Amino acid sequence: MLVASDLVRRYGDLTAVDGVSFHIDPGETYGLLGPNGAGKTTTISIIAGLIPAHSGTVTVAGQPMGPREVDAKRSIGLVPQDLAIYPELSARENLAFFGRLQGMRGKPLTRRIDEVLDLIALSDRAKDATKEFSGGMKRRLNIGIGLLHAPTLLILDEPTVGVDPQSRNAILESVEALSGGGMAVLYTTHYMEEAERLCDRIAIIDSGRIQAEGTRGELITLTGGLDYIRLTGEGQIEAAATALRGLDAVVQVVADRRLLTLTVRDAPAAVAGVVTTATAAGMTLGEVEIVRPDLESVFLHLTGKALRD
Amino acid sequence: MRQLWTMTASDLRQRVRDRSVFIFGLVVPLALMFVFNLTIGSTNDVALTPITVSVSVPAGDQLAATLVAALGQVDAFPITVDEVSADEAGARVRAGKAQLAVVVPDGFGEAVRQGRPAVVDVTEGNGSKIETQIALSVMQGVLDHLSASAVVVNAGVRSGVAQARLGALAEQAATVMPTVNLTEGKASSEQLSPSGALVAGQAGLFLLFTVGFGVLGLVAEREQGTMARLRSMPMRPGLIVAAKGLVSYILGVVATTVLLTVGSRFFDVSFGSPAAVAVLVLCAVAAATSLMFIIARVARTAEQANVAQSILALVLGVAGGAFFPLGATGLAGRVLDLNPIAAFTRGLGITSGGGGLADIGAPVAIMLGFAVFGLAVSRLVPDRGRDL
Amino acid sequence: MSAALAIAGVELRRFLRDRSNIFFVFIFPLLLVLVLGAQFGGGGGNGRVAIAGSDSALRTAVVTALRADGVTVTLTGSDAMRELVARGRSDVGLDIAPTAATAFDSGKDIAVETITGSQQGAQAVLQRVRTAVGGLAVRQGQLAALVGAGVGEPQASAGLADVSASVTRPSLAIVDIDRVAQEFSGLGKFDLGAAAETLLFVFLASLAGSSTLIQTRRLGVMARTLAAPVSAQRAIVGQALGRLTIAVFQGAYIMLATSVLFRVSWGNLWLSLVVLAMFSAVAAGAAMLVGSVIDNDGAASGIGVGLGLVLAALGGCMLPLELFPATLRTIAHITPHAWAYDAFAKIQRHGASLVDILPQLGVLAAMAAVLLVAGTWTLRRSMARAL
Repeated sequence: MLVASDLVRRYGDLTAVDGVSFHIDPGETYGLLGPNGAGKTTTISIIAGLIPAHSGTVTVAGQPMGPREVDAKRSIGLVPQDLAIYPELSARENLAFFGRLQGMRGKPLTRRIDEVLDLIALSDRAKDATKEFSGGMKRRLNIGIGLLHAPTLLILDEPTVGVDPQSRNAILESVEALSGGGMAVLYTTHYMEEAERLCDRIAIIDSGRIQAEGTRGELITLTGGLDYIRLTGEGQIEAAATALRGLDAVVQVVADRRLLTLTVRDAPAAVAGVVTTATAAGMTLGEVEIVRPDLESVFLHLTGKALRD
Repeated sequence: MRQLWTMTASDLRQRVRDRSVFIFGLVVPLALMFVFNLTIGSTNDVALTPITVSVSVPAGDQLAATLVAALGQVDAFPITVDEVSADEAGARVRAGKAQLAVVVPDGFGEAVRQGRPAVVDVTEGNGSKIETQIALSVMQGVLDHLSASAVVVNAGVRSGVAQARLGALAEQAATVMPTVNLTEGKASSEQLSPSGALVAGQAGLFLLFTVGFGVLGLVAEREQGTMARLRSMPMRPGLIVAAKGLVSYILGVVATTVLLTVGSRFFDVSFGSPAAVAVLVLCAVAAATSLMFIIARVARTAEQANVAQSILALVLGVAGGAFFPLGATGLAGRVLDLNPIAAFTRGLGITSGGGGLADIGAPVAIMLGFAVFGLAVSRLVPDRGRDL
Repeated sequence: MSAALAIAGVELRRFLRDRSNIFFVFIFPLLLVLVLGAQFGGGGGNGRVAIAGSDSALRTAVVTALRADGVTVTLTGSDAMRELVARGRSDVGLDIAPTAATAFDSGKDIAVETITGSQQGAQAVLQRVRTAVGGLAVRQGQLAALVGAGVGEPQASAGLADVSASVTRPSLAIVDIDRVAQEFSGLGKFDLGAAAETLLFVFLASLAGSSTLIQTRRLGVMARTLAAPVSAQRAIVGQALGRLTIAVFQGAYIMLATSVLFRVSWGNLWLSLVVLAMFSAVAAGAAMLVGSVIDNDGAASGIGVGLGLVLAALGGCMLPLELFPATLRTIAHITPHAWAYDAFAKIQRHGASLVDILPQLGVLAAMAAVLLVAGTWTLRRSMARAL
């Protein structure tokens, strides 16, 4: 469906996208997971043909994509991170406007608008100017416009940023429903849970490069099946860290002020020894937490930093 | 092509709903025209009106009589000359019964003949500035003539002309004097009436605000995020820019046409040939729109764009004579001529003076040149808002 | 009070930090004072005459005579001369043909083509041209008469020049008792424009600032201010004080800059500042009213600029009030501009004291009071309204 190979895009001295390659199959939901500034939006902008890549190629449904490639653009639906809707126009008028730009018109357009309004649960507010809408309603309309012409590839750029938990859940549910219909979805987010919940395959992106790619299970094995134990407390933290490094089960210890993050083999078995050792070294424990591997730990493992800044 | 029209129509609909375009494009300029016309329009009356001059002349002074008689011979407008006493002359002017008082002192004629100082007291009253200026200028001319004979006699004495011939000398000087004929060649007037200049100037100035509602929308779309969506649509990116230009153009043509039409009805101005005026409007809007493309390219935010637009509009408007005509000549005049608003006003001056399509070549060339220049510059300057 | 001052301080800082204000607040007013001063402040003199024709004794003589009479002369080509007149850039055009120049040299009759503009005053300038050209003929006659009496031409010419210099020619002593002329006599080139521009921009800057008030309301800063231990009354006084500070700042800047750069005389500075403060209060009240009645900041700045320009034009800030017809002058006094203009005029031109301008200050104070009360009331109501 989508093949991106070796994309590079620079802004001045900064290389925002540095050799990104991946592909998405029909019906597949593919996630780009990375912190803010990792290069997600730039990658998407190249794939949607908004900006040219300095090198590398994109093909959508077998057709080359670029700013002037009209045919390839027919296949995609873009949901930008910003609310790309006109505040002066009603929901229906916004949909009709972008529908016409997609080449739709007449009865089929009207019918499709009604369907989409139903899907995003805005049928009863269709005639109100969108500047009167709540944040969640605007987000839903933003997605609805991307779906209108039934694209074969839907590109969603952080669609849940700044959305209340309830609306967020509604958005995630509708995306899940979409991928069931055979549409390929490219989804960027910096929320690990979203990527885990929605995506068939996930690419972890940082500093403009894809650090790892695969299903959730494949990515987690990258951590070597190791668990984490987090200790929070006061007292002789440095001494505790040194003592803990001596334990067999402990692979790595990272000290950050009052927090010690331990990479361990089989955490449930190791935790008793860890607590005893830390306490003996003079650390007064406040909190002990066992973390089984997730994408967050994969990211930490790959980049040495946390997903959320 | 259908997409171009879809974008243009949608933009126009939004601008109409927003109402700002009405305020800036129509309401404010019309209100300003109305107020300016009340103030400036009423003070400009070109026709010369009759005036009354109160004079006091010493009895039997031949030269003084000549001076006063010259006033009666002004043919541009009637001057009524009332002979009164010296005190009365001044009093009449103060009372507003006369516009000018002329008091010729005793012994004036003798003093002039001998080349001694002679001063005629003149008092200017309220109003009729131009007419009194003309009367004063006429009297100054007569005084020059009167003193001329004293001068020639004195020069004769110095050059050793015989005493007996001196009397004849003065007379001769007056008779052998060559005549100077000033013949009036009539040039076509390219000047708008004060009210016409006002309507044209305000229409030109606010055109620069109105066209902003189209092209500067590019900056707003970038800020809103809709630009990204538009660029993902299956159409050439150039269409987006073209649609904005078209919106500017339509808004500009409509607003300017309304302003000129309403202005000429309300303030009794005729701009002449409708076809020629239409060509001028089309060219002026093209020039103004091209300027907006430069701003849209350079501005990072909608706010920056609006500020840049206001600055350019006001500077070009003032320089183009939207508020008052700038009477520059030479190089400064040539530079001011390149201003599209000045060219627009000048073109309307030509058409209002009876000029047709064939006569407005220069202003049309200036405006189209400006449009081409503007578009070229907008391609060359760095695009500061491009990176999404 | 300190809370209100803090709010006012923040408003002034916001105003100054907005870089887009630099041009409108600091540069544009001075530019307009400069242009207006050059335009109306005694620039034209006794008219503008364009002369076409190659260099000749006749042309030199005409130019000398016209310049001596205070006329601005431009030498140019025949077509350019016609264009200058047609476009109103010259009042009268003269086309001196080569035949006329040779005729003048040989003392024969000469014919010169004139073109008179259609604008006001062109006729008066034409008369000046007639007088000047008539004077040339006189000179030629004198020369011919002396030569006829047997004096050599160079000697005759020198003699005439000598005598012309020593003889006192009869002259006109002109006293102008015209109301407008007297009112403007002794006024510096930029004085009139500076006073008018100060009023125009103080009001304009205040009204344009009404959109800031709308943003304040929208951003919720207003709500936060109210949530702080500050009474609603004080928060509103702070807003009013903020508008007032900005208005006074703008006005004081123009007054200072014009007096330093253009040597504009403001008369008694303290009195002028009192007038400015009172006028600023009116402007602040108007800004509060606009800023709380209208919810859309785009429309507010449109209305602000429009209202600012229209009131200024009606109040004598674009064309001096003295040149208005009598009825219009009366109507003009519905604007605060006209009252402040009168007060400035009295101070600048007649050395008025505080007592002399009390009526003007009284009217301005009343206007300010009405607007500030109305503005306060609407602002309070607007806070209850969601944006």
